Amino acid sequence: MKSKHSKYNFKQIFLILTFLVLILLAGCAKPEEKVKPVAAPAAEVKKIPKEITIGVLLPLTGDLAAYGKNVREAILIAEEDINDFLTKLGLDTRVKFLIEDTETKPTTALTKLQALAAKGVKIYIGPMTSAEVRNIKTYADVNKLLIISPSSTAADLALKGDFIYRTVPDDTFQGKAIAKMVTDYGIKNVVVIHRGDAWGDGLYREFSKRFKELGGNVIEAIRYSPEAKEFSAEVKKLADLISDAVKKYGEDKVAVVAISFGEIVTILKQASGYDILMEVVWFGSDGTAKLDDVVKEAGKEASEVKLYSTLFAPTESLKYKEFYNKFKEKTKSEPHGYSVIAYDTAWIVVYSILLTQSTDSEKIAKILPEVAKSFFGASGWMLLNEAGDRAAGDYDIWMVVEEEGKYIWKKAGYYSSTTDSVTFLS
Amino acid sequence: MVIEMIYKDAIIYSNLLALASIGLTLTYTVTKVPNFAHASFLTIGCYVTLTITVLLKLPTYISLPIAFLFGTIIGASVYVLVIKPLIKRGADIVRLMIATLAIDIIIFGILNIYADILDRLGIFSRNFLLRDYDFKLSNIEGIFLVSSLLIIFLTLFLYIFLYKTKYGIAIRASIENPSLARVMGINVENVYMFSWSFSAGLASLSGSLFPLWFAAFPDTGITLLPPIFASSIVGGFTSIFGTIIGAYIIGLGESLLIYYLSLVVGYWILAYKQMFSVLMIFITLLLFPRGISGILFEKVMKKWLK
Repeated sequence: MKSKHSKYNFKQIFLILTFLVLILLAGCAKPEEKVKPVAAPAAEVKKIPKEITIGVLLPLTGDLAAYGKNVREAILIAEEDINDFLTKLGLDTRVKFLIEDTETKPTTALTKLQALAAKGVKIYIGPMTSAEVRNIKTYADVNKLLIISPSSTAADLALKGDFIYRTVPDDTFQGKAIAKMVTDYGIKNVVVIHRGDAWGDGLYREFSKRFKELGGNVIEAIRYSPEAKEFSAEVKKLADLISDAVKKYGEDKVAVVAISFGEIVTILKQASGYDILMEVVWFGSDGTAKLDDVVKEAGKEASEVKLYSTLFAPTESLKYKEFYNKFKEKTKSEPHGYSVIAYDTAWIVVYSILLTQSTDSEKIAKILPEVAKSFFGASGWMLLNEAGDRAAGDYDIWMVVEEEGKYIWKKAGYYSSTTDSVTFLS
Repeated sequence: MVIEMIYKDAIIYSNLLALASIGLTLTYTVTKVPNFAHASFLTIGCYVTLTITVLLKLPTYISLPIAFLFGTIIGASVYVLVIKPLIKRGADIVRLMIATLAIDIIIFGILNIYADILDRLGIFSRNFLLRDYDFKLSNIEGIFLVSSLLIIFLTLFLYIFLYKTKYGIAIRASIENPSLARVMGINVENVYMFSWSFSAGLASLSGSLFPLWFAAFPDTGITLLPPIFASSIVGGFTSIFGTIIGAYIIGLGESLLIYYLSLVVGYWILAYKQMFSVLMIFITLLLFPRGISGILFEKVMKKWLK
């Protein structure tokens, strides 16, 4: 007699499958939520409360954990500085930043936003990635939650009249910067490998548009899933394409453009198995620039291919140096470009609250562009455009080099958006 | 011998998938609990290797037995503290599945705390890759050799263990008919604990090799859950040897098949390669509900698979 245990139980399999699909969807889906307003909109505040609470959504784990942690330090410094400033003003008000981890996942970003909104928080710094911003946008707009991202750059999120502000220039600027960097380096043919998300797709589009205008040729673009942890098929395809292109155009006329986050480490390691991929130069973006993961885990490979990467450049000023020194003293590390912006973002939010004498998100959203217009912070002039994004910005170009047996990021040049020109330092 | 990189990648990935999936099948076959925390046992192995290699600066491959042992302890603890009490209280499969999901979240949290502690000690603990710590034998990477040998050894060991030893027969008896096994004097609870313990040990062993080839994070296991389940289901879900074959179908399919398919249908398909696992689950359940063990080898391996 066969026992029930030996039978294949279809009901159980169905249950397991349902769970599995739910887990998978939670990881990669963009839920079309029925957006409901949060419980009760906070009553309009007639005067500033004793504690101003500002939500901060950062990727403290996941692909952008290194950036998220760096920005967290900047926010903590901002909290300290702002509270000192409030004391000097003779106010007993204190600012409190509630920092939540989005795990670099759009779905988690939305969950954390909903949780903070339920607590009555109406103003937020972050999230950092465009995929996260896109996923929370509808909920934020419907509930009038003010979102100010210090690093979301996708061009298609540049929309007028919404509750999303971005204190960083969008990728139309960075796309131009990368295209100019590549052409000025003498490269006319590239194969692009990029993340298949809002940011990766957008930056690829902006780069290829400008690169073609400059006479460049995008041979092919390999799009990969942002959830992928293994890239054997993608890298093999990249090697095939680069190999053909080198035969056709020559080694010094072909390059790889990698629009990636932390997964660049695995991509570079897998690419090191193909000699041809280590013989051409690679270019990156703000997703790879100054990323600790690269120099610590794939420094040798990155230094072989240089991995020239663009990153928003704070305007060199006394204010920047003051923040830089404070950050370095506190954390024993250098601030990332987006950390400098996050620090400034905290300040313009608090200035807006002080000016309006209110924490009402609609009032703050209205006044914020005016405050930003007259604010010169550690990252430079914060002027916003009609879409509520930073109006302009220059980019530093970073590369990986080996110095004294260690792999480090070294400044290799800069791009000026005013003159659309690149200057390589050596 | 020169093996092209894509084949190395595919074989290593499949080997690690096979090592991790065997345990999932074993716990399901023995205790009828689909363990959603299983992949997180793999992540524990990743962090054992990081600790041994980078923090303690010991030879990398020492981490293999340590990860296995550590995994067995965790697996046994999970069974004794959570699964056994729940089964005793008559929990159904849904409750047990939710319990394993909760265990998964707890392990993920603990791993994140541990990663933060390592960070503070100056050790890069997220997105870490330890390829530089591996050895090479005439152009072949250590992990390629070790993971391949481990699979061969494990297949032989499991065959001998399950079919040629008294304890193996006791395990099979407990699977076939637990009540009768009890009457025959077999301690079924011990068999259940062994299966959880051994399964977690194998997953942790797989995880200990993982960062020698792929970058690891605290959520590495969570992202590998669909291919691990797919390997098990394609293999028949109740067949250990079928699972090994299932792991190679999934592993080679996700990399090699998708690559060759992209040559025909275009590059766009590469962005969807992770759907391969889920697609294989659907195809298996719709067309071959008993998986690979039910079609290819039913007659030949009847003795092994039942």
